[in-house]
Amino acid sequence: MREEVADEQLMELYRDGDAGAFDILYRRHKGGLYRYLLRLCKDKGVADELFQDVWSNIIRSRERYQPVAKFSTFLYQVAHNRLIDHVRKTPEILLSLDAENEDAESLSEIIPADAGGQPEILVERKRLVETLVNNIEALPALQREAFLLREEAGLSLEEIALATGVTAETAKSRLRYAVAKLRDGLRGLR
Amino acid sequence: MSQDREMDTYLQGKTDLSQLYADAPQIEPPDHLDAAILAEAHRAVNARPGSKPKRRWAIPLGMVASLFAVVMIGLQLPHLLSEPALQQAPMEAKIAASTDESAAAPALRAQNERMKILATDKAKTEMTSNRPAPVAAEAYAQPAAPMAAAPAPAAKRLEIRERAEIQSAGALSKENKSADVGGSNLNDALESRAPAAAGLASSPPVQLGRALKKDETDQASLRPEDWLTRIKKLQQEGKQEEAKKELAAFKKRYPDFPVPAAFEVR
Repeated sequence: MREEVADEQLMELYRDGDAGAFDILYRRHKGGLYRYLLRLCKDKGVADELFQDVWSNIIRSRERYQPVAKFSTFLYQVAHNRLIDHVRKTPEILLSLDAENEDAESLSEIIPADAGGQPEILVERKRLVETLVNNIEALPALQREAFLLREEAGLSLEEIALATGVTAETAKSRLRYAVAKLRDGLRGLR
Repeated sequence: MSQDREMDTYLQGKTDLSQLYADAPQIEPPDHLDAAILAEAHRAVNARPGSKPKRRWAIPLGMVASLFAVVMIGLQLPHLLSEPALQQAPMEAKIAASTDESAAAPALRAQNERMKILATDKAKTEMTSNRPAPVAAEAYAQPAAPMAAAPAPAAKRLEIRERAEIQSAGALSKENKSADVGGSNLNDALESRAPAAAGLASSPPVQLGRALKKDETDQASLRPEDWLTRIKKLQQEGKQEEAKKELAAFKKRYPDFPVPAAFEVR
């Protein structure tokens, strides 16, 4: 029953002292947020630190929370700002974020193997997924962020613009480039 | 143009790009992070300022305490304001106010008699001559302002009469008797600020004690200015030791009253 309650309502409940509402909210968003951070900064240790900081920020700011936008927009706005702060403090991260073809640790190396399904289809599918993930990692940081906000958080263009502090046109442009590059990368395999 | 169409299709979720991405392993945060964040969230809610147990009794108690303090001050204020006037009131009024105290009865009667005699003698003196009354040998031991001008013979007669009456009455309480034992202690006598009637009730049979009690009564009934005048007079008469003691008593009685520097140096 409670699982059907909207994010914004859960956050309001938590603001008013219902700790259980936060548990539901956290379960809903922890995976997407973690992957967003991990695929952007490409460092598990940094991703862990940022992930905890973002949720701590949400917890601390609960008293001021007003449901003027979707909770996910609010959450990823906090995450974006926290990531920007971190990048400013450690410029080497900025380089890796902006690198077009950074030879960093491949995300596929930390992805556990899938053990179910038909072997041939699974192998082909796994190859496509790995390619896609690699291509996502290869995207410029801002385009990568736009794509991850769309895929992990399910934000609309306007919400991506709000979370990243840019106009809707800029957000659309970033996302369009990202999608085009990823599609081109997959076309070569088919 | 084709890119825009492609974009619209993608935003509608109709492309296989999103489906393929959904097949990517769903990496989750480590369990220890989950535990730490959830614990922090629960702690924050439990530590909310609003969730603290409210002290509902604190405000009413504070109001009652404030009201009580105001009432007490209001009751004490008229008494405090009228205290100097009471000190200068005639001795008869003080005696009359305490006539119901059986232990003090003989001494009070003696004081009444003494007042009558003093008044009579003063009237006689004024009738016979306009000269000011001579200062008694024990100036600081003289009674209050009206009695300060009493001639020495009258004071002597009073001494004899009072002693006889007090000895015959023997109505002193135990407390008074114990006070009498220490009656020769000048400091104790000066520190005691009992009203005149109480002082009379505990009138010591010893002469020195009586003198000290009289002095106490004098000091209690004197206005600060008159008291300083008396001290000044003692200094002018060369009674420096007595003046010093008087000054010390004065400072103890009126700690906030500004004492001229001339009093200090001598």
